[in-house]
Amino acid sequence: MIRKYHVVAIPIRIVLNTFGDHNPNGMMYVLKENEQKIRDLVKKNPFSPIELVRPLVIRANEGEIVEILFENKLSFNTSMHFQNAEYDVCQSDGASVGLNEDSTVAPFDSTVYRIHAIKEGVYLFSDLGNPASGEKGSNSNGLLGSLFVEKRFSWWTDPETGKTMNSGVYADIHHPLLPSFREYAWIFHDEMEVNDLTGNRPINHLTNQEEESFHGANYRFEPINRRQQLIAEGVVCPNCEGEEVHHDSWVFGDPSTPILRGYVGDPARIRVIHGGVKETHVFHYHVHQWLSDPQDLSSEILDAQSTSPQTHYTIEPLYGLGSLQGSFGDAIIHCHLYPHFAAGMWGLNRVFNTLQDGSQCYPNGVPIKSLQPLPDRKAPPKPTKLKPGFPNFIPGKVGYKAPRPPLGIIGGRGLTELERNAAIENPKPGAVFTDPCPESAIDQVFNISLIELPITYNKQGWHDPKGRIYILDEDLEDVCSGKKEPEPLVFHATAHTSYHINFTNRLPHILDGDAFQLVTRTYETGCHVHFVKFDVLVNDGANVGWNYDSSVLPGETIQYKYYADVELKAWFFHDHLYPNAHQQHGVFGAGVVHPRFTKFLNSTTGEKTNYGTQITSLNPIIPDYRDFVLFVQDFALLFDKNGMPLNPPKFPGSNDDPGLFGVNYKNEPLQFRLGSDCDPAYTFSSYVNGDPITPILRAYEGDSIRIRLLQGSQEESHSLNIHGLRWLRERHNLNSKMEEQQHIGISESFTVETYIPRSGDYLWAFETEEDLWNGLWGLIRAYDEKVPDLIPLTDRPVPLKRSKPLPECNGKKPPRAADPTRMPVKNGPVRYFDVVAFQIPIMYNDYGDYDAHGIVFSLKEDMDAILKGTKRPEPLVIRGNVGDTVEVTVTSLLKKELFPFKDGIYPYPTVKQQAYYPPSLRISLHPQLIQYDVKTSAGETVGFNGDQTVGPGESRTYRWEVDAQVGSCGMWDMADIRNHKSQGAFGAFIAEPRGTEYLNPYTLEPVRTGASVILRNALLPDIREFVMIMHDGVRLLDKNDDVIIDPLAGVLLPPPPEEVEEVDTYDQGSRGFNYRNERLINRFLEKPVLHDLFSSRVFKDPATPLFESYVGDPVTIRLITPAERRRAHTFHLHGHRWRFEAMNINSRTESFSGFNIAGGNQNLELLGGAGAYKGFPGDYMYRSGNIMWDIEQGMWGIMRVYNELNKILPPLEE
Amino acid sequence: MTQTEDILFLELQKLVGEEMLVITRAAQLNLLGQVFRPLFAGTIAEVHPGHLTLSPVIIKMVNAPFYISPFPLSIPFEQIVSYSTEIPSDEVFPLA
Amino acid sequence: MTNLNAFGLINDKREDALVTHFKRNIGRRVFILTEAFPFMFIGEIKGVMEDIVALDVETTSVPALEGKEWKVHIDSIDVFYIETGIGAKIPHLKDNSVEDAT
Repeated sequence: MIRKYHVVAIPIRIVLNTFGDHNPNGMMYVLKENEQKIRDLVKKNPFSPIELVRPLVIRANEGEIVEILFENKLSFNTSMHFQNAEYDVCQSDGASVGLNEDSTVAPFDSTVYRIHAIKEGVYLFSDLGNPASGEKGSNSNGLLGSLFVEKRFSWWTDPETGKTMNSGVYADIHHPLLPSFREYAWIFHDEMEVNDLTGNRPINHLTNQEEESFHGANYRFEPINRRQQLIAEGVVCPNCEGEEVHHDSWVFGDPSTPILRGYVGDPARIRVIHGGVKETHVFHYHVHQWLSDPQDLSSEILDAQSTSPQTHYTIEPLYGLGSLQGSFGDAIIHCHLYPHFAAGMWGLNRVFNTLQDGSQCYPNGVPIKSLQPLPDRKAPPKPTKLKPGFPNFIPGKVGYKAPRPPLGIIGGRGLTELERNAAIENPKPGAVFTDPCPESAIDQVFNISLIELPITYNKQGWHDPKGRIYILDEDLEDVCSGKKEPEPLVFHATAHTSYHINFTNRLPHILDGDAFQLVTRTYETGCHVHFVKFDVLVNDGANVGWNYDSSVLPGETIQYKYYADVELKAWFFHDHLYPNAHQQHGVFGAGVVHPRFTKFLNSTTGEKTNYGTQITSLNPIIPDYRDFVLFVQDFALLFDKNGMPLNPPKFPGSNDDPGLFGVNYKNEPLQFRLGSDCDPAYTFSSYVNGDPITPILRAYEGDSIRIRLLQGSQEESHSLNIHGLRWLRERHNLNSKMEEQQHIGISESFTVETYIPRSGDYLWAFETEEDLWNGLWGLIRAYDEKVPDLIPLTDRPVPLKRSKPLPECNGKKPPRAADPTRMPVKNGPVRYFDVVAFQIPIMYNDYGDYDAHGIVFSLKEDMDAILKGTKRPEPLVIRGNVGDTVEVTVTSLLKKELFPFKDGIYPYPTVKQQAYYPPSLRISLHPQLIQYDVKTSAGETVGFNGDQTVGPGESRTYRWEVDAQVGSCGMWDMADIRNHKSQGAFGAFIAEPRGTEYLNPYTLEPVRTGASVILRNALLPDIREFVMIMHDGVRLLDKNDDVIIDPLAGVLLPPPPEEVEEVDTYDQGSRGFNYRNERLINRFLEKPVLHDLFSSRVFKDPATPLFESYVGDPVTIRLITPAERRRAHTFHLHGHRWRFEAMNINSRTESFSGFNIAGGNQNLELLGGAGAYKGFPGDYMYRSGNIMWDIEQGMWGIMRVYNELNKILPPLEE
Repeated sequence: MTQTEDILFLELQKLVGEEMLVITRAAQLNLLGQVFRPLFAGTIAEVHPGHLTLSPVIIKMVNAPFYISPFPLSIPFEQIVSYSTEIPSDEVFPLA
Repeated sequence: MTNLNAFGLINDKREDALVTHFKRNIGRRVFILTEAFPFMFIGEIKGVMEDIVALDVETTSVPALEGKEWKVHIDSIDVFYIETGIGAKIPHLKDNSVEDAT
């Protein structure tokens, strides 16, 4: 079956909202049939958004071949590169990579792309003819779209007319056997050029500075700045402030951004696509939940999900629109990163409860477009005068803020007649139009207030004078009087609970101004919750669309009602009225929904409790566990003890990465952890500096634990690593991958479920360099013997009476850790590795870009060759088989004189709050995922564990056990996270199946190290293994020894110097794969043709590793990101797919892997082997998905697939 | 052997025309990539010695819990793990 | 009345009845779901040998497996529907596609 489309790439003016903000240099893909129509409409309406100007979405069915006649009407070569598809890489790659034919299209020329739609899903397409990241690039200007591949036998119709359709972001999909569903494309994109009506850059009317960069969806954005101006100008809503009504349709009418329309209960799929170039966004959708993998019923339930550039996923809301409780009204969809939300990255899911045939109007007189009921579902009732349906029964006034809900506010109003007609039989406070709570549910009442108080974050007196926190009313006195430390509010209940929340707004009316912020009147607040079931109209704790404003004024109390239907993780809650103004001051909390029948105890006293960030949970039929909650925060607006602001922005009110970091309102910066010898190697030692002030999660050896990981504020990605404990990525699925690291974005919630096998101090850390440097770390302390202030779990053996005193801080260098090799070997053969760490310049490419002060780990036997220059330095990759014991002896050969900055203060790349931290000459090697005793072999000196680092000339042996087939494990130094790691002190350990041999792919000789090997195993086919180590934050010099100020130094077609924006600290530095990169700017300066930059016909092969194979060879990619910055990278391999969960046969399959950030590791088994199922030979690009700023900076390489035998590469054994 | 009768068969025959929720053995079923747990709610239309037929019948999918199958479904007795006639087919309950 | 279960025969009896039901419906179209791959079969019942049904398969979840004869173990069928001629029909599934959508 062949399906054909004729697509044209055209230049187009894109008007992004009704305020006339527009991109004059927009670019889009369009079907030929619509090209002229669109051009005419845009010409006639230069300042209005045009419905047809949307990212192109076309559809096909699984199993079809899609032929696209692609015509280019832009002034440079463009293309369509498809993800997830299989195709002849020489003909349909939409790029000119390696030795392939060029499949980009010259201006006013055309070609045919032939795509095999192997499997249902999202096939994002975008241009690769022009890889520039800035305003002269193509992707940021809109050259992106998607092919949606539906299940076989599907067809689709226009939701408004019911007629068949060829393209469009919204469609109703039908099938002879399966339910019809609403399909909505939600395509995030960012960094688009925006001009205002006058043709100038938009100015923020409060700060008088240039507005934040563009963040939107489907070529639209609805910024607070514009809507707020209408208030300031007296057009609407007198006395409103701005943020509290940003999403209020009563005030402004509906936004220009997507409104996904449906009826209560309609099955739906939202295809969430990140078509942008730079940021990792968090998709959040009110009221609804979904499975992280729709094909796998045992996958995680989510209601907020990160997406990094060029990644995508499908959301199938559980129970259809309105969820289990059948809630109708407006459910807002937004990027949860508040600066993006404020910039306009939001829209609505409008769930109607009456039929819309086109005859009705919204309260402001705007006609409601008709909406066909899905053909296999009963149509909703027609609206009548007495029952007009949502939103026309709500007693609001157009131009004014939405009304407060009936019944909920104590002392508030009752129902109007129309409301009574729309309500359920027995409306109650918080449950007026639907009641999610079954009668049999357990009632739990929580009295919660939101208050302001100063919070001290660390021992040095860094503090937030305007901390704002949720608190239980019974704790008000103790916390406000200083008797109890403030912490994020976490309350506990079991599944099948009806929550009754009495929420009181005790904030002052004003959030005062300072170096960080302008004065803001935050006069109303609420409590918006995730995961649990509720009536969205009256109980959202928000002010959205045509719903009620379910918040309260100072001194008022509102009653909310929620139902926890099943065991959930921690549900996030926060204020939805002023989050951009004050959430970073601490306005967040969580409710944990435990398994039914669980009891909660205070871990110190053993008394019953139902709140706290550290409790003990007892259950009669499942193991007892310790329950811990960690909230990570950025944009923490802190002052030092003298009242000086820490990392203030350039001007108050700027969202440009202000402030610092926290975890549960605390931090422990490394700059204050140096002992008298000033050696960073003992930074984490409690002997030198005492325990950190950050959470110490306490348990006994052998205890089960659950760590609820959340991000409370505000804009950035964080990466939790726990050293020495591992868990399942999908906790309901035993086939899921083991992890020791988890990426987290704001509002996401993840449960780490594991147990502590041995006593000792385990490091937890948000381990990107800047987070860790600024204090986001702490300990998990597992005691071997009884301590007085920790109750044991009831189903564990009683801890032994204490036989020795607990260690104490003495300010001295920690004692040496015991030698693990003195114990007899328990398991299997022992593999020995003699590893040395030394300094050597590392050449990153043939243009002379190099790290003058590289630090590498290598096998001792290779060191001489590397020093002599006969062997190029590579990140150390070592392997072991399941069942092996591995003994690694590490020797430090670091020399003080070879460090470039003796105070450890790097002029570039920088981190926030740089401070004296002189390079350590000690070194260590810490591995992920495999087993060891943290007291001897964690490769770090943490808490009251002994010293495991080694000084110059010293050696130490670690003993690790490969107990499971975990595949990729990162490995890195933990002695000095500032002066060693981004300089190259990392590598990889790969855990292979039992009985595997590792062969050099060219000589077939057995090898002990190397990024490319053949795995040979008697029971398995020969497999080619390619280890790809993504890393960033590198300080490179060019051939003239000038520092390369990447990423900006690598930008192609840069803007004039006066328009160059400053780069966030966490984007600073160069990047690459395996100590190599192929920066496009070097090639461009040699031959300035954009679409040729990846071509080996024009240039040589890139400096990054070339991975070679034959068609059909089994290939496993080990993708590891040991270092270093907070910017998440997407990995994409052209023309191939793999299972997200390698060991789960039901897993979704994709051609990307998202969120590669410090600690990330993946095992990618290519489906169909090299060349994929269709077996096309050629050069397949592996690369980052971040156009801004990775690809230009050289984060790409080639996997070369031959179909004919060549002399160099021996074939695999049959 | 004397006369043999299957009590389940006899019981179910009496229930023709009534509603029933049936759960079968499979961990999950798969209709063209749409996976669901085998929960079927519907009206008992026919009862045979080896199977029963529900019509109309709802397949309880997590994303479409009231999806009515376009044709009746028959369920072999030997695949039935549990059933109840006291749960109306419009009952709302958690599935994930 | 004998308690069949005491002799362990009740299960056999039900299985036999199901086999008989398939035998009676030779020549008719059937829809079958199994937990095992490829999960779904639509086709015509050609014959029944012991507890194995032979199908002329029109549609499965995988195009490459279609248009072939398949034998399915009746004991492994989770759910099925046999067209009777009077009740609802099993749809004839076609790969829907517009030859040229532009």
